[in-house]
Order: sequence, then C-alpha cells, then structure tokens
Amino acid sequence: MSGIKYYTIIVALLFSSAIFADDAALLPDFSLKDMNGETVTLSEACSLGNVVLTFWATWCKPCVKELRKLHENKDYLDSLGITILAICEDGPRTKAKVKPFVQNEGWEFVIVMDTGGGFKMSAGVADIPEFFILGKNREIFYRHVGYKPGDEVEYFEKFEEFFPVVIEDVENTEEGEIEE
Amino acid sequence: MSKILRRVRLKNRAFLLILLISIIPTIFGFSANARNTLEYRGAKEDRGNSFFEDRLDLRLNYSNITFGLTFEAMQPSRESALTRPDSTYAEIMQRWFELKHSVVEISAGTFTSTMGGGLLLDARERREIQQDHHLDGAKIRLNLPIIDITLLSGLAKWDVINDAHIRGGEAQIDVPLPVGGGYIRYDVQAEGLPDLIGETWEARIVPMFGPLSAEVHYAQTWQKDLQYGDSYNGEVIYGSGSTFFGPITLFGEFLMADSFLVEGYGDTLVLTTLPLIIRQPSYTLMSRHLAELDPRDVTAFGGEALISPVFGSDITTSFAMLDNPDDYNDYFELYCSVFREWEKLTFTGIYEFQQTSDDPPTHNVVLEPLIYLNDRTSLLMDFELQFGEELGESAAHLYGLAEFARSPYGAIGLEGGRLMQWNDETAGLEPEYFARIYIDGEIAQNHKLTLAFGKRPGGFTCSGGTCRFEPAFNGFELKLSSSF
Repeated sequence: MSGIKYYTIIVALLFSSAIFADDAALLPDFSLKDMNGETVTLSEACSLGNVVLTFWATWCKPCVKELRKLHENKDYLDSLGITILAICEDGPRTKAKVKPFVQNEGWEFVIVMDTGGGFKMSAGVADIPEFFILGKNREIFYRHVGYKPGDEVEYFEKFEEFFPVVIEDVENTEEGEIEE
Repeated sequence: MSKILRRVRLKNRAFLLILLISIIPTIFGFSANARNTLEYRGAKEDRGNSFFEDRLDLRLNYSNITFGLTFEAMQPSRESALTRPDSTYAEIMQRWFELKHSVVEISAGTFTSTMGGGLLLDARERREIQQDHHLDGAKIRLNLPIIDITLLSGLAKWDVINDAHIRGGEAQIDVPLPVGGGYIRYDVQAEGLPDLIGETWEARIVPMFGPLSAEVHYAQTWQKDLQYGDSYNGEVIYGSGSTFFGPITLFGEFLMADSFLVEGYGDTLVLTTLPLIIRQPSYTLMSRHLAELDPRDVTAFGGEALISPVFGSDITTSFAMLDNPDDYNDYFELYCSVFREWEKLTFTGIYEFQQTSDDPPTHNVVLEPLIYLNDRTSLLMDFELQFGEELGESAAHLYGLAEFARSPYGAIGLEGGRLMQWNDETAGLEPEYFARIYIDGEIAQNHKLTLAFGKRPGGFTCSGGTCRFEPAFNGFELKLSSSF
C-alpha cells in the first residue's frame, strides 16, 4: 500500500478515535514537586476544586504575559474557586532562576516543576504556553495553544461555561441571596 | 505535496500499532488525546532546506494508565533537527506505557528523565529547538512521604553513532534539610570505535529557610576507553541562592567545572547539561552572540537583582561571567530591563552588553511596546538594535516586528530588518535585508494554522503566541497544529 494511503488511514483513525471515544480526553496524572519542594498531585487538585493548568517557562515571553494577566485577575479567579497550576518547563539550564522570577512577579499560583519534561511529554504538549481547563476527573474541557493578548477574555468566558454552578453561587453571593 | 506524501512509507508493524491504539477507545472506553503537527517549508535556494514533517502524538488514558506513541513522517526532516537532520523516514519514534499513582510511577518504553539537576543526566525532548533526547527502557519512581527515589535503565536514543546504555538512580530526602544524591553508569558502543564506560555520581543539599533558598550540587565523573585504556576524571560544583525582602529579590549562582565531560564519542551524545549561568535569550538579535559553558574547564558566576517598585512594574539587572583557563570562550554580559504596565499599554525596554574573548563588545537595545486597542485586540511591536564590530568594522544590525492580534481568531505579523554580513567579493561588510509576513489563526476549535512567506534571520523568535529557535530561512512556511 502506498504511503499516502497509510497516511490517510492514520488520520482517519485518529479522527474516529476522537469521535468514538467514550469519554472526554483526560490529562494524565502527575505527582511532581512544586517550587518549594512540596508534592503536588494533579488528580487530588482536580478532585478538590476547579483546576486550570498552563505550561510555561521563564524564557517564554507569551507564557509570562499569560500568567501576568491571570495574576492581574487573581481576585476574580479566587472568587470562582479556581486553582492555577503553572507547569514550569525550565530545564537544568535555567531552573534555578524560576523561584526568584516568580517571587519578583508576586505570583501565587502553584508552580509545579517539570524539569525533566516528563509530564509535558505525557500530555502531548509540543509548544508552550498551552492552557487547559480541567474537570474533577482530569477531563479536558478546553485547551488552547499559544497566548495572544486578549486570550484571557476567552478563558474567562470558558470558565463561565464550564464552572456554571460556581458562577451562579458567586452571583448569588454578590446579590446576598444565599448568604445566611 | 502529494509527491512528498507518496514517498512516505510506513512499516506494517507501526501501522498495526497505530490501528490498535486508535480503535481501542471505541471498544474499551479509554479516553483518547491526540495532537498532530504538520509542517511544510519550501525554501528558496539561498538559505534553508525544503522539508515536510508530520508528527502525531497519540495518548490513551484509562484511570492511572497511559499508553502513548509519537509517529513521525519526515520527507526530509529539517536540516537543523538535532536527532536525525535532513533524513527521510516514517516511523513510530516513541511508544510508551505509564502507570501513575501518588506513591509509585512506572514508565516503560520511551521516557525522559533529568537527574541531579542535569549534572547526572539530562534526557529531555525540546521541540522548540528540534531536539529529542529520550531514553528507551524503564523507569520507576517512588514518591514516599520523606524520600523520593528514581531508578532507571535505558538506551539513549538521540544519537545514530553511539549506542549507549544508561543505568542509575537518585534519591532525595525532604525533611528536615533536603539532601540527595545519585549515580549513573553508562556503557557506550559505537561502530568501529572501542567501548567506553563511565560513571558519574552527584550529591546535593537544598536548604530553604524563610525567604532564603539555595541549592548546592557536587558531581564527579570517571570515564575509561576500554580498548586503549585511557581514562580521565572530572568534577563540577554548582551553587545558587535567592532571597527577597519587600519588593527586592536577589539571586546568585556559581559554577566550577574541571573536565566534567559526560559524553560518548564525538559531541552528539552529551548526557548532561550544566546550568546556563548567562541569560537565556528571548529576543532575536540577542541570541546571535552566545557563549556556551565549556564543561572541560570553566569558572562561571552571575548575579541578578529584581525589583518591583509598584504593582505592574519590574526592573531587572544582572551580570554573568564565564572564565576559561586559556581565555577561550570567555564571556561577560551585563543586562538591565524595565517593564511597566498601564491600562492600555505595556512597555519593555532592555539594554544588554555582551563581550566574548573572540569578539569585540556588542551592545543590544530592545524596545517592546504592546498596545491594547480593546479587550481582545492588540498591537505588539518589537524594535531591536545590535551594534558593535564585525571582523574589525563597525556594524549595526536591526530587527523589527509588528504583530496585530485579535483574540481568539489569530494574528498577522510583519518582521524585517538588516544584518551586516561579510562579503568575500567586496572583502567587507554588506547589508543583508530580510522581511517576512505571517498569519496565524484558529481555523476551528483546536486547529491552528500558520502561513508565512519571506526571509527570516534565524535565532530565537516569538510570533503567533509561541516561541522557538529557528534557523535562517527564506521561502514559504505552513504549519497546521491540531489537537483532539
């Protein structure tokens, strides 16, 4: 069989597997150290609340811009109970610079060190930044490659789509309807 | 394109594996997660090569179990690919199984691993520089309450000359004072060359007290050529520390290496990575003059002060020095950047001074305003100037980029500039102008298309929301990235 036919079949199979798979795509689990040496497990984080995950590195300008925008909207994200896991892809060459960089930026995200790139490989991530909105069982509700200014508006709209109960609670809380 | 695709051949075994892994989700309820990246470049004759690449990453997840494979079709691969440059193939390059639990993780097949902060082993995939350094074998990690243990055994798969078997492990105790260490042994066989064996061990301490955090690594290596009996020893010590008080953060690091060269025959199988010490370039012109740490003999140190006087502003100053005993590849850099954010505008300004022992001083200036036209629309500009001397003559290199972006649809950008290049015919510097236009957009949810045409100077570049190192190129570029 010629290469073109093989190639067409592979692409068709890929589409069919995506269409007929029973469940939404899952992000693989991980247990990695955060910037302070504490172990972070993705499945635990997802089971506890609304998780947003993004891949970044200190040398990646769009990644830094994305995280700065999320940091600017920290109060809004906190009100939705969103935990941000920032998966750091700085390797041995630059990983020592991560902690002072984060400290200077004032970020309070969970900075997870993926120094060996193992989780990036497991997740099938090629280019960074890549942004994910995850469900309670690590289901991928939304993913987005790259960051352009304004993408955060899209993210916030997706939060309202995928975390509707929390949004309603927040709105009700603001209106004082469910306050005791 | 069809001519290229017709020449792609796939082994039957690979085809069956992809077939199985694709139909399993429909039968057993696994979830599938896939990413396909197709890239085509048609080069003009003056620089770069034409190539077609397709890379498919397929992952199947069921509870804590993941099966994965990466299929590559290259016709041929780009000449800058470090693993198999300028070669034609269609193969499954990675296939692996992972079992992940909060206490134990098992990987079999293709895996990556960094041990000892890179001083023991650095086997990673870095697609932003077209580098795929992975191992084929097995790895087990035990993540116990006070100790983290990793053991691995595998073949280094990033070199076509050397066949290297690597075995080793590392452990770190996290309380009360984190300490750790590791050991690897490697056996290298290369066709027509004698066997090589080597060992490396590493010890570390990672103290953290309030705002002070530091890490110190010491590693020693020993290597022996079995046929000729030659052997050598090498060592390295590396330390870094940071602290902060109020809006000021201070960071410093040092490295002393003496014959710390963990590699096979030639420079294609380097197993370790030293910390960079100098700044990782994140702009095009600044990435033109870079010094690499020479692990044979180098003393390097650097310091950085980061200040955030008010919210939305940063000032960073840093310096770094590399010193080699024979004045070969010495390097000094001084760096200062300011960042300020207003409601509709952010501004980054950078000055960097670079000097290597082989070249006269180079000065870099970067001005990068980003204007928000509204919540979703922006205009990013990047003006770079590099001036110094090239082969005894004064030279100024220019680079500019303007990118108009509308989220979530995409971006259109124009980059251009001038490099002063040596011309043999005139025996002097001549300007070489370049210009390139690109458009980058989401053609559907999770399907991103990039089209570009023109000449790029090469170096670190950020466009369309991602960054990567690109070699100099002139011609047409197409990239389609899809995730499922």
